Amino acid sequence: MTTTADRPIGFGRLKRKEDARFIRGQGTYLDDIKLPGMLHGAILRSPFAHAEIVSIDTSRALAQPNVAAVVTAKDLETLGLAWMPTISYDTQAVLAGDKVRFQGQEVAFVIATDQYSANDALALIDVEYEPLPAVVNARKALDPEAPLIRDDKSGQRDNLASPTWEAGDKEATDRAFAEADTVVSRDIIYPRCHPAPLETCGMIADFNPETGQLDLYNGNQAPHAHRTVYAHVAGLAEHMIRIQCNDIGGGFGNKVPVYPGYVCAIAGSIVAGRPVKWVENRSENLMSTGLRATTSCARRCAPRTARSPACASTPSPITVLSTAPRNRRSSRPGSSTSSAARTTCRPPTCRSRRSTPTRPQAASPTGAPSASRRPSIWSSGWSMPWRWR
Amino acid sequence: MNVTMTVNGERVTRDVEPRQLLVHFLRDTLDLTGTHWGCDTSNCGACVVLMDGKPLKSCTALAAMCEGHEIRTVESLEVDGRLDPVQQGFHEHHALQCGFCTPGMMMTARGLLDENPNPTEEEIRVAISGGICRCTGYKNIVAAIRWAAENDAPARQEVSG
Repeated sequence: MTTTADRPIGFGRLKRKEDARFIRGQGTYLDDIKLPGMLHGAILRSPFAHAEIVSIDTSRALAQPNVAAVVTAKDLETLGLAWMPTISYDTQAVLAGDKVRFQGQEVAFVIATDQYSANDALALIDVEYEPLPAVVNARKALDPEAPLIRDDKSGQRDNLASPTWEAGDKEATDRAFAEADTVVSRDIIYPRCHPAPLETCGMIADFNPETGQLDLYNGNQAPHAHRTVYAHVAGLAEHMIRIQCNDIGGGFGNKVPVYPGYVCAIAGSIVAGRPVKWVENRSENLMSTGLRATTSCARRCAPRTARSPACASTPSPITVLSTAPRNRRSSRPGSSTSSAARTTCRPPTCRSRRSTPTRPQAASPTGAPSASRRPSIWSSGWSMPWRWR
Repeated sequence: MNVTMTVNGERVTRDVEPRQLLVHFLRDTLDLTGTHWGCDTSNCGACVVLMDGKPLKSCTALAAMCEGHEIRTVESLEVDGRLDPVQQGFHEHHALQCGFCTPGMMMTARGLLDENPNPTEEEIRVAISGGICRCTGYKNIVAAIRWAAENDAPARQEVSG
């Protein structure tokens, strides 16, 4: 009789094809690429979270023999490269002009014949800052007295930077909460979180002034979207931009966005007329590239029970997003509530509509919902009705 | 300043800046880009090479400090078209995904097995604790190094015989 060992399911165990080059040290990651005549870039970053830029003096850096150019926001304006879109439907300064709005924001870009010289020149750029009150707490960012960070955006009155969105059926959700036996509310703070791929982000830009062709080497996770962004920012036709993504030393989402350093490398190549490589160091990667910022969430959970038909028939997207414990009573020490008993309606004393800003409690084993009662995005027919506004 | 060292069995002399890191000397001066640069603060281990047989984070050493020393990089593991058991083990056990940490992990493993041909799982975990893998995790890397330990002796006999 044939067993699965004799004839594995599908194709059986497959070995990776890309291992052949990786185990020999023959991968082609961004920093492994050298182009003829290539220059190297480095970014001067803001030490302040919020400050006016009074003046930038690049003369000492430019006087260095190995320095080819120093690019600032003013230079980018003349090139039409001063602003770039973000993936959050926003715009971002490639290099800070009037003021810096976060610690580590890009202020100037140095191009030199080698990486060490480019880094040396950063210390020779004189920037005069006028520090402003900073916002360093996500909870306090929306306080009325909090300093306004994005005063560059017309109509912006507070620090709510991202667009708001809503999802699901509001009426059904309200009904589900109104009819639930227990409503649990929690405030949840997510700490700052970074994907930290082992290879940092970087770009080689090679603009050919004769043909107008822009060749980019960039290990990223969304080359087609990047090409569109660069076309918009640089005013080039998309077919004149070619992006080569070779081997990527991890991404995990960190290599999806377009970063100012990429646009700096493009600007540098246009200014210098030679290929420019920019590779950030680890501190820059952790400080300024795609991460989840400290996040404050208020979440409500309305557990469904056998006696709350409204909940059962009208699934609420908020329910499936919730991670709060389902029922405080059943997780109490010494609770003898059986699984069968927990499927019945709670007595009125169990109702809780108050916000309970305490640390979420882990549900005890006896308090875990049974599989049949657990809210499921698969069984509820829940889809992705995100609507941006 | 001039510095002379042996890299992968070849004696090399180059004029270097006194401050140049070994990792940049290998990658930029000798074009041995198999050794990777991940943090330059000796946290990630992507740049590990062997110096006189011992694992060394090449971002923590200046090229000038390697005068007279013997350096081995990932490019030296394969000999006459025959993979090192460590390389084979990483392939057999799917111990890599993006491959960026792999050269450092493999050189660490080579250094370990040269000193301790039959390490326990714990000894392997201690040995690779200076390296970070962000994709695959460490379970398969440990299995790969165990595989290499079990297949090291016969493979070496074959190479030398």
